[in-house]
Amino acid sequence: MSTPLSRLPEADELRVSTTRDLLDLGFGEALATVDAPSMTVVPQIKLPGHTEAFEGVARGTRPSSTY
Amino acid sequence: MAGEIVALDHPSCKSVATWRVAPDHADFSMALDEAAGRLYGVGHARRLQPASPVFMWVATAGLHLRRAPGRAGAILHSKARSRSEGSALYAPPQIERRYGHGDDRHRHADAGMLPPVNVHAAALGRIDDDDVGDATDDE
Repeated sequence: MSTPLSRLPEADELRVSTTRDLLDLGFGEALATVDAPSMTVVPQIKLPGHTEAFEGVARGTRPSSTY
Repeated sequence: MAGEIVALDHPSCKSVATWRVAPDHADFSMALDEAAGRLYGVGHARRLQPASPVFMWVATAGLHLRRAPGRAGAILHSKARSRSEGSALYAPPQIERRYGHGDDRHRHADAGMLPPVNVHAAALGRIDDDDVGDATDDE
């Protein structure tokens, strides 16, 4: 079941996903995947704290640094 | 950055624009999908935590965007197209309710939210200063 974006507090980190039409969104104490056309949240990943930065990578690759 | 948002040209790193932001600045982030030609943004105002709703905008590359001051800047939409065609912004009703009650702090925070969109679009050569202003005639 999708979640409206208005239900996500402290959303302030956004990346274009490696998958078409998806965005990776950091909010509260979780990461969410946003379906860009419908602006709804699909899955969420709970984290122990608020994300200040993150980077998405394609499967099998590893970033040389984070930002 | 507290107090200011600075747009930097890439790759020269020269400052091309600066916007003053209230001390209770907004946290925001943008992501440009070059393949799709869309600019996404998300953010919130610190003062509104923990109940602050998220706001999010989508600026389609090539559109002329401008803010709607009568709506406290929470709405961006295209100059030449209808809102439905431009789909320039997703703004939940809570945003307008929260920014519409006349609290100056919220107005300032809101003022800090919009410029990043315009800054980024300007850096891409896709917005004119004249397009940032009264949008009530398109409402």
